[in-house]
Amino acid sequence: MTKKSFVNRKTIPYIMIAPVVVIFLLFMVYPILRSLYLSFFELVSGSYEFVGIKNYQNLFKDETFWKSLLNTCVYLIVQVPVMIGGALLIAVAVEQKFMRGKAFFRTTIFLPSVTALVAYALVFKVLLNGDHGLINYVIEMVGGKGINWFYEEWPARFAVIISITWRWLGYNMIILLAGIQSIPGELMEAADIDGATFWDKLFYITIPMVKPIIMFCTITSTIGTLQLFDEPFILTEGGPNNATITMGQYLYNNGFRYLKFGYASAIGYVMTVIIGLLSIVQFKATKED
Amino acid sequence: MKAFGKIFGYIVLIIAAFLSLFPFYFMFVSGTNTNNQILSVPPKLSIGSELAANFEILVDKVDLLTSIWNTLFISVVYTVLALLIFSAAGYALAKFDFKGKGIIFTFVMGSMMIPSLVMYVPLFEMMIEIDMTDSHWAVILPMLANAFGIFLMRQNMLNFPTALLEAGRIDGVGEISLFFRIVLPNIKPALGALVIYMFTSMWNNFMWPLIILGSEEKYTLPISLAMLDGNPTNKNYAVILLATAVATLPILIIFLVFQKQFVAGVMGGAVKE
Amino acid sequence: MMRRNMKRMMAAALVGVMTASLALTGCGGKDKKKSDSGEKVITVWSWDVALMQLQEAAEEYQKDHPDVKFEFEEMGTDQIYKKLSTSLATGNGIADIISVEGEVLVGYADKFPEGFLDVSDVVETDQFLPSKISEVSYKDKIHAFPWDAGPEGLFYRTDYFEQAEVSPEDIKTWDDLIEAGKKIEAACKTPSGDPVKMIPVDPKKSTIYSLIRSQLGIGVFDEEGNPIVDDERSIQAMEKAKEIYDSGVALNYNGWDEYEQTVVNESVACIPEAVWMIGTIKDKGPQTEGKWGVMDLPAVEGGEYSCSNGGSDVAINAKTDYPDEVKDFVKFAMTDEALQASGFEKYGLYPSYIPAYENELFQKGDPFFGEENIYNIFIENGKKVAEIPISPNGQEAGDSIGAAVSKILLNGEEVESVMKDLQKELEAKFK
Repeated sequence: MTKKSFVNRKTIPYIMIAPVVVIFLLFMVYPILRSLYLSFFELVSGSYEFVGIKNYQNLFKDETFWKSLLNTCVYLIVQVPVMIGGALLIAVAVEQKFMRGKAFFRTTIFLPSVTALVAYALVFKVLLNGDHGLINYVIEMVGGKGINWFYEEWPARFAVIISITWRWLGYNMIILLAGIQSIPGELMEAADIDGATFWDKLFYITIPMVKPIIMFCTITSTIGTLQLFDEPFILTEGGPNNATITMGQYLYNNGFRYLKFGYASAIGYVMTVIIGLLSIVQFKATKED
Repeated sequence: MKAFGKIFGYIVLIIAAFLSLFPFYFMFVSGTNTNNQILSVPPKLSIGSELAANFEILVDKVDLLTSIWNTLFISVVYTVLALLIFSAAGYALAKFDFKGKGIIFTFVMGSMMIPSLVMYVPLFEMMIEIDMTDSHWAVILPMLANAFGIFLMRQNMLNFPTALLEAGRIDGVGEISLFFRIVLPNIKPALGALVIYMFTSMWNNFMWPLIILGSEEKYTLPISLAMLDGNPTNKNYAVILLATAVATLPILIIFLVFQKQFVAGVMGGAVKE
Repeated sequence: MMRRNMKRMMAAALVGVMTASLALTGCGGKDKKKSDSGEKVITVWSWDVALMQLQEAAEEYQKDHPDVKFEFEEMGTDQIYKKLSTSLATGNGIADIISVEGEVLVGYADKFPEGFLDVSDVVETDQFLPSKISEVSYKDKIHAFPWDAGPEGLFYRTDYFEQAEVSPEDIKTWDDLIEAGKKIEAACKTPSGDPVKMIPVDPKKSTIYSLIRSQLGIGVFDEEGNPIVDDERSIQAMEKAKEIYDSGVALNYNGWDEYEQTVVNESVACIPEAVWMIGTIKDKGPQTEGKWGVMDLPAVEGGEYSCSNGGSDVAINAKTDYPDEVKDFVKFAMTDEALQASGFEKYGLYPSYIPAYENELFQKGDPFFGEENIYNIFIENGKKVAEIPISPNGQEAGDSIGAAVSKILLNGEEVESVMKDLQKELEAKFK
């Protein structure tokens, strides 16, 4: 290494990574440590008072928090698989050889993920309205009984699940589509010659081939769902009887409505631990096979 | 059987496309109707004649041009900076071994798990300390601590052929021009994906700009939209939805332009591992 | 060797980026709003109608005070609260004058006791509605100027009443309302052909329970801030709310947009709401002109008080550069009779400043609501609102009560046990 060339093969990675390191130190490490610190304090009459682990103790006794955790788990267990499965099916359908208008379907189905929230909320309230909504109209047309979407606990949860699925299915579909396109065409042709059905190809070729992408979508959707905030906030305001409130929304309420920043920070750290554990489990599950 | 499968495939896609388009249709059509037509049961779903009137209220209430300009400025600067910084970091993380690499990568990935809501209060305190509130840079800089973008770049760089780099080095190309002249041009799809991802996330960003920006001439579109929604007792949904439609259009255009790269870039990011 | 080089480089890079970011701040940072010519510039954050009214007040004020300039910024309520939550601790980046809704003011007053300027010296407490004075007073300090009030009345559709042969005089109590509601549902149809319901109720919110509880004269907390939702009167209020809901005369609504829809679609015959609802009704139901009347709220046994909902106050940033000028202006804007009257006439901002009721405007009435003077009811009810102790925990308690209301109205749980549980929950949270 000569002195005159400051930039060389040894130093270049440090130079390249330096801006990210500085930015993360300033705008990620510092706020994380600071809010972790705040989670042991509470704002009383204009100044922060040390309360030890009281915020965390209260959290474990707080019924609303437990309910928000339960709701978040419900969203996770029901919504993520349904959405990823649906996204996969639609991606496979778009990629069928006979299919015309591929670009049209791809674009339109992706669109919901760029919708503005106000529009989205108004539309879903209109669609899910108990007396005049389109969805109940369809249910009643096929002989079912209209559902009281916003006034019963489980229907309200499903209303939220339907909306999240609508908003994020296309996004995952696009990502999965990319994986499906990378499957060598010869594989499918060989399967066709062997007389494989659509489902054979789906389960024995497509799914194994795009498994890493499915895992990628699952992990990002899991993180997204665990931090879920918008949908219950605008559609149900967390009700009825806190049946749809999420951890993210409860954090928001505490921090920005009840002005309990210490408590809100404590919720944030409990969430982080839960998200971290789940992600590790999912990463491990991917690595093992 | 084959024909049945085809029909079924089309039915599924047509329903999915219809459901996806409907809210957009509702949004654009509502901008041409009156508030009360939107709130009627069922709402009016055909194009009306109120577009001009709604638009007049909108520009009267909101300095639309200024907030579009602000949002565009912030989003473009942010996207350009992110492209540079993230691709450099992704390159370092994917193609070099250096001290601290493991820790940096683990930390960046781990930061994805922390709910951003908890960080706004400390970030805001910090901005006050360094007297940086109410500036567009205060919106941009903290948002550069974005793990997903770095991850996407690293994954795309992983399968960049090392032989190409070595060949360049043998030809005596400097490390910096190696990056700009050989690496970047070859990962265009990934950059396209990053452009869409970064641009939309900043264009729609609401909470942080709201907290940090204090004066109307600095407001971004989402903040101006929230202002329309602000009257506690009387709302004009026609104007709100018209404004939303205006705000969504640029995103649609960006997506349509970079669509191909987006798909390919996300693929490069997702398949490897 | 290598290691040391590395460290030095990292340090240099760090310093470089930091100075760069600080330099950027310099050009993007905010410039203090003090102009060179010695003008005083007062910034104002408010929303929609309140903003317009303050602008008109400023114009008036400048006639006598040409040296004072104003800068108005329109903000939504949510926007204002998010900014207050993050910045009131320092007062940095906050306007001099800020509109705040009455029910959220105390939360800020509690967490940031030094956040707003004390205006005890300029607010004459006997000149304002007592319920508004108790709203702005907290811990021996008046944190804001009381502005508009929300005394409630019962808006009703005269045409539906006639069709069903129900007379407003028949509705004295909530039980009467239920009976009348059944007749109206049987006799009347909305323009789109659905049966007309009696009142809109959000079964996930505390609204209807709070209304009746206020009529009984108690709040969620006592003077010391202890929760008292298991009080007899509180339970009585919840029982009544359940009776109304279970009778089937209520129309469910979910959120503000659906509440407004009840006016657009003419789907209810009555709306128990604050005086500001006049504006929403005129705006959302122009086709119903002349079909509305206002009467007193139905009574509950033992309830001698009235109820209010909403209304806002005007707070002053304690860190303002011009405390005297700002106070002087706000006092002018809030206590000028003509301004208070015109604010109501144009924007539906019903004054809490009692002398303003002398204005002839309040003697006339509103043609949209027929011949009778509807304002008398609100003026009388405004004075009959109990001075209920306020608590900084009101928002959080309100959410818990909302959940309890859903248990009772939607899940059909038993009132007394839910209220006992609620009491325990609130005690645990706010002891």
